[in-house]
Amino acid sequence: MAGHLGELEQLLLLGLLRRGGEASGIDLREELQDRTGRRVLPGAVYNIMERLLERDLVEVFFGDEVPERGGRRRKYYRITRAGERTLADSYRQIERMADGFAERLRRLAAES
Amino acid sequence: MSGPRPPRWARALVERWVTGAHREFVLGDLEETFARHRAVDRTSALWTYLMLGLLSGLRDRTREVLSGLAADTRHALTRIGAHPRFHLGASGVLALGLGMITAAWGVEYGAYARGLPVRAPERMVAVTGVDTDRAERVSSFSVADMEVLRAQAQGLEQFGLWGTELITLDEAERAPEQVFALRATPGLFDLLEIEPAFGRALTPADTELGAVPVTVLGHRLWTRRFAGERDVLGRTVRIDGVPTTVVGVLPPGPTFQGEELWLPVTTGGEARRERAWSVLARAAPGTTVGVADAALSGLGTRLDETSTVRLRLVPFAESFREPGGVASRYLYVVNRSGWLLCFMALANVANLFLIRTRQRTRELAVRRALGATRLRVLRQVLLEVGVTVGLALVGGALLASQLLAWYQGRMDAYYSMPISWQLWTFSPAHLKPLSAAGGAAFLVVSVIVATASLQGDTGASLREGRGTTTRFRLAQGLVAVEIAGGGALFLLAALMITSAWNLRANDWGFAVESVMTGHVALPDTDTRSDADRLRLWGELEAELERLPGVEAATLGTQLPVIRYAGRWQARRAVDVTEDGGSRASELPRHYVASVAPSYFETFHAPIMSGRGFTSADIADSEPVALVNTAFAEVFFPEGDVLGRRLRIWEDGDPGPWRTVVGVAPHLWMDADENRDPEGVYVPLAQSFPAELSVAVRVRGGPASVGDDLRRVVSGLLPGVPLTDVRTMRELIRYRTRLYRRDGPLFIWLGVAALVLAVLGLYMVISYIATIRTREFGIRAALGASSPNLVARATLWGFPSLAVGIPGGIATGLWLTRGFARYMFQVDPWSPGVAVIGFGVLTLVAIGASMIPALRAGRVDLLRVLKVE
Repeated sequence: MAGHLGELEQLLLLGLLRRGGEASGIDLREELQDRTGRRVLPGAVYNIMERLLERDLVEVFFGDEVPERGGRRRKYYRITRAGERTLADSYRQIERMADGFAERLRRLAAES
Repeated sequence: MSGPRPPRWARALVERWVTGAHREFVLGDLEETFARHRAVDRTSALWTYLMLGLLSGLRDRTREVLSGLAADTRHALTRIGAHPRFHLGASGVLALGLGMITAAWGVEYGAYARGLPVRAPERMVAVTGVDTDRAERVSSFSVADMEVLRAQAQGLEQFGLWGTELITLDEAERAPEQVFALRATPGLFDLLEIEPAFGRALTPADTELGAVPVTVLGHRLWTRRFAGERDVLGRTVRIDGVPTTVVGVLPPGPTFQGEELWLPVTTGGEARRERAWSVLARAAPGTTVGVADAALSGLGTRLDETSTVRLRLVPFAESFREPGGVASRYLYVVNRSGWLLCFMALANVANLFLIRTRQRTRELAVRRALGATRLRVLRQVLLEVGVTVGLALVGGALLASQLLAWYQGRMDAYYSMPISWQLWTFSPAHLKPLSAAGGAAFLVVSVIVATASLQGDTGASLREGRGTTTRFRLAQGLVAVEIAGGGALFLLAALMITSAWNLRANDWGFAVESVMTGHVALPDTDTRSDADRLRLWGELEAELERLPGVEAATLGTQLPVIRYAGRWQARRAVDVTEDGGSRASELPRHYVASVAPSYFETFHAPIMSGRGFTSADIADSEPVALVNTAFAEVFFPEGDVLGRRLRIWEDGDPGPWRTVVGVAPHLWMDADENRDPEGVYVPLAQSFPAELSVAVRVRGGPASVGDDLRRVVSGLLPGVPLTDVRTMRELIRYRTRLYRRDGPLFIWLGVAALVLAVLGLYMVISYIATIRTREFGIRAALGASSPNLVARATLWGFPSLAVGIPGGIATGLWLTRGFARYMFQVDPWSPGVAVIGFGVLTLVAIGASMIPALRAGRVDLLRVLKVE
């Protein structure tokens, strides 16, 4: 097991899965904002993804230079097998801890 | 095709905020975010992005700055650890300066600014005034004035009148004693927040005309004279002959004015209009002294119809300042000395850092060549300065607290009754000047070091030490000013040391060791006629002469070296013109003493020419006078003084023409003055004084006759005390206590200044020697002799000396201007002082230059090249 995941790390890895396993930094930010309403600092996504990269939970590749980015390239991240396993492990831990409370948590979330 | 792009300023902002490897992608995201949104949403999207970016940037930048700072601090500490002697030395020198300036500030603060120990000292004010007609300062007011003030002055909520006087305390079982009393209205107790330890305070009823006289005893008097007995309450004592009831005793602790007991001011009857009192008041809460003063200024001429006094409110302790007075001059010199020392310490530290930077030129250049920015280099150097100044601040605070504790000790020894609003010990308030001076030191050293560190381009610095000429010109300039400052304070200290030496070795020229003295004053209420008074003094003298062991006894309105502030007017207008046309205000004022015929003989001080007074010089005989040698020399330089006539004014009366019958020797008519004052003596039998000093010359030791003297006086004058019973030696010690109190302070200031100046000179020569090591090595290799090199190096200090030494002597003389009271038999303007000062300074300076010069002279080219 490649260690534990922080909350934002989990969310960004889930974001990668939602985007088919790979996504650019800006896509991940928008995915996070659209699904959770959370706005993260522009540099923060890259900082977190770099940490995951160091742990081999993601890998990186670059796209072409595109005009809508002022002629700059996109930076894409792709989840690795280790990343998927770590995320699954992390998710299982949450499921176990929340076992029996799922309905109640859903209700509380709806109320808040 | 490229779509809409975010504004240029937004991109510039992001470029500035975001650091590190992500910057390009974040910028790309900004552009893409902008492009993805519909036109209408773009602005809000942009702002959201920017606000988030700002936070992110700030966080990253802070983290970067902190980590850079931590690294630089580590680097600075490593450097300091590698050269502990340099940094500790620099901190020590600066601490000396900071400590001195803080202590010097504290001397004045403790005397005039700390204020009363009450809940709101800043609201305590003294009422003073200026008589606009006579251009005189007014500080005495009447009870009636206070009532006008109370009715009209806005912003003042409470008043107290007070005044001090010497009274004679007398009870049946103890010898009478003169003590210092405070006369006050009851309001002063509230203002000073004083409550009696037991018994009661003064009340308004005590101040009424015809009230039973009462007193509240000070704690010291109670324990000293009444053995701390609680049944003292209700006891009757005689104060200036008036039976007075003790109603209370104050708690221990400092006093308001050094008083031993309190008496009420009489507020009724004619006394209401007597302008004899100082006024203490409290400004209302929320009112400043300035506002209350402004409100009062309109009242100026309304105290009564005829008053031309413009009233002013000043902070209480400030009202004791006498501009131009000795205390002000003393504080001025102490204060300026503190500044000067601090400046010198600062100049030394600046020079130390200049030398240090010079030694590090190569290191700094290498670091810049390796990519360190100017800012980075600067930050590291300034951190070193910061740590040095920080250490100096701690050292300065410790030094100042020690110096002030020492000063407090001296003051406690000097004043027998401590005064509550004069306190010199270190307090948080002292941190203000300390930190201001420390901040200034940091700024100055930083600017010098920054300029020196970043001077010239890297290549040039690596090739050869450039930019050094300006630096050593700066160093030489600083040292010149330092030598001037050091020289000035050294001169001051030298004059003080000379004074102390003169005092110790002084031949007073009269009998000192065998003489016992005392002082007796008839009460104001004494109604004796002039003839009766003369008879009384005659009996006193005769009885004193009859005492066993007494060789001679005399009386006079003053004694050599000491003069009591009494009812005898000691300085009077003396008219020697013989035409009698001059008015008193146009005439010079001189010392005038009234003495018995036995005066000069008792002190073994024979008359210089003519005759002394005899028993034939009485009220009905021809009025006569003696002049002292100084008077004769000034007014009768031809030597034709005997038989000349002079007139002595008293209270607007020119008095009779007196014939000069003799010339008296110099007998220290005023020990305060640093010269022999011109003075005149008149016979006791022709002047009828109401208070006199007595002196007896005793075989063996004088100490044994003290009680005999008291017994004689109390036998002749029941209830009148003989005060200040002391030997002549004790009297001289008392009179010259000023030198002992303040002398060491100036000596320490002078020594500190000289050390700093010498250190400065030493450093500048070392500095130049460091710069020119290579040149000296080459000279030595080419055959220059060692003495030649030493002489050459010694001369480097010459420009500093040439400017500094004359500057120092001039500044020193300027500092001593109006400071003659602190000198004993020393004339700061005599050429000898300047020559000796110049000589000593030059010798010390040459000595300081020689040490590094000798080192420079031993230079070896091979070693120099090897090191390089």
